[in-house]
Amino acid sequence: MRIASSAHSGMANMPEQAATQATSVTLSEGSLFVLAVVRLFVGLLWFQQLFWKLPPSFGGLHRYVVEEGQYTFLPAYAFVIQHLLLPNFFLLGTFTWMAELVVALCLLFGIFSRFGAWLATLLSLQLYVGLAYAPGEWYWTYGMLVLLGITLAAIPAGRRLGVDQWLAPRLAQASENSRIARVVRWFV
Amino acid sequence: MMKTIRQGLLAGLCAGFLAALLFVVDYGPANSLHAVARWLALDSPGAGKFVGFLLMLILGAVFGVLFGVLGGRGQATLGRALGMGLLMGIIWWVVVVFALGTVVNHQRLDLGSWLLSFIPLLVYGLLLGSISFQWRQQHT
Repeated sequence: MRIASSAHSGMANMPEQAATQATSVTLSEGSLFVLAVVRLFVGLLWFQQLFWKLPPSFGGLHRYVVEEGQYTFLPAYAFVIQHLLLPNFFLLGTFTWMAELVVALCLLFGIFSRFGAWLATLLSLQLYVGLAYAPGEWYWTYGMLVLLGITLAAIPAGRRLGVDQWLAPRLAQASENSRIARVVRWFV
Repeated sequence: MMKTIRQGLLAGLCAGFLAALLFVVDYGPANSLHAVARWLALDSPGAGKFVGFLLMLILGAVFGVLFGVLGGRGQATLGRALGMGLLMGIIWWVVVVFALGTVVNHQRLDLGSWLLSFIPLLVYGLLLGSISFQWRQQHT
């Protein structure tokens, strides 16, 4: 597996043409394995958060949504929470729980892992906007969640210890003829 | 045949160890390992976590051997290895968690406890298939 990256160190002695080109970085099997284990535990992080807001009541979630309505740093978002989301709490709970389940499954099984990572990034951004400056919260908690999501979206972490290892070559082949496969390929 | 069984055993141990770690990282720490020990009615306040961890390794190795026996006959492809691995995870859940834990030992089985046992065992199966395939690739 090769991941493109620009490297500037030690370029003074290289030919001029080579020095202007970005060199590719090849990850070793060991590095890929470590990244896959990281993906697995980030998936576990999301998986464990399903249990304190289980359906059908989604009970544990309500307190945090109320807090988001009070302490978000975007006034418009407070309006949306108080007048749109809280009155339809069951729908919000269902969507949130299902979205977090999808993130957990994508990352734990390495299946469409980049899609799971993007979804995790979106959910984390929402948490950052809503809760980062609530009393008792450390704003970096949600900042780090966002960064974890972005990191896992940037690398193909599902291609070891994951179903993406099986999916990727098939999607690559299918993408020669199918536009849908070309789009879906971004998420493995 | 012996080689694939040995590979299955080692892959099962590795996958069992990684799956056991999924039960270690929690609010406890490692309170979830009590639930693993309860599958076989071996839980106790003092040793339950240790027993749970040990069970994950032992059962991981046992299902790894079964994987080696069943998977050793056919051609090694990634899809087959992952499919067989996931099947091992499902068999582990059906035999140990459902049949022994729920039916025999009367453990509770609601949505939460089902998710908490089924998903990590399915992850075990995926890891078993993936690790086993990777090793086969390196040794051929």
